[in-house]
Amino acid sequence: MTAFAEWCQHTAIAEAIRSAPWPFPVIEIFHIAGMVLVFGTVLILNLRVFGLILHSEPVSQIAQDLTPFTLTGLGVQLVSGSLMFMTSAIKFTGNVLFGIKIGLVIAAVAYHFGIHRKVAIAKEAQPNRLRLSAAVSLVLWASVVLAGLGIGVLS
Amino acid sequence: MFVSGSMLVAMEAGRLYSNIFFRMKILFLILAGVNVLVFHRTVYRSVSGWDQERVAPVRARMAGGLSLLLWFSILACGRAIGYSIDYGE
Repeated sequence: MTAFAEWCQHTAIAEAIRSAPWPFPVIEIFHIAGMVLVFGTVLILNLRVFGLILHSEPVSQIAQDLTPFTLTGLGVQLVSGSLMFMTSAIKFTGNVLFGIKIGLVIAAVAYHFGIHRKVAIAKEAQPNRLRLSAAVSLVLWASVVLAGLGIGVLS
Repeated sequence: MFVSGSMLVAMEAGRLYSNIFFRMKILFLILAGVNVLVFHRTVYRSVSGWDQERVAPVRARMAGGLSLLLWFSILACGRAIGYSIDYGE
């Protein structure tokens, strides 16, 4: 792990980001914009599941329509997040909060596409299960956002 | 956001007032508000005519695009304030 972090931190791209004060904040802005896209689309789906918005649209339709936007946001976050990690890989590897966040991201993504989205687009209606799933989804993504913010503020 | 933002400003009002990113952010926030106002007073008045259309009229789409651009700029300026101000001195 340490060897990998050393290698990341000494790649040409990591050196280029560190060579000026502005690249890191610019990457960070895109990382936050990606977060807005992911959390925003997940929130829309879950507000619909709770029956608060878009009553005339089927849940399955909303889930399917939002998927490309959620995936775009995740793509932006993966690229920008990897770049930020590489810039200070050694510091991040030793950061407990960073480890927690990566665990939460993996859990949230796996839960969203492995369970939540499947329950939402399922042919047979399971309202209670779906509402529970929406609550779990929101808690997971909110934890990811808070952990990410914590890394930014504390480092 | 208005409440929490006002509290943050109150803490560092002097330093923020002269900060270029803070000024830009406030400008973009006002423009975003104007954009909503113009949208509601113009093309949205005829919404019943295009409510069920697959694609909204060009003026509505322009308002949407401008809104996204402005809010991205507000996010960027907000983050830049954090980098360009020395807190707690």
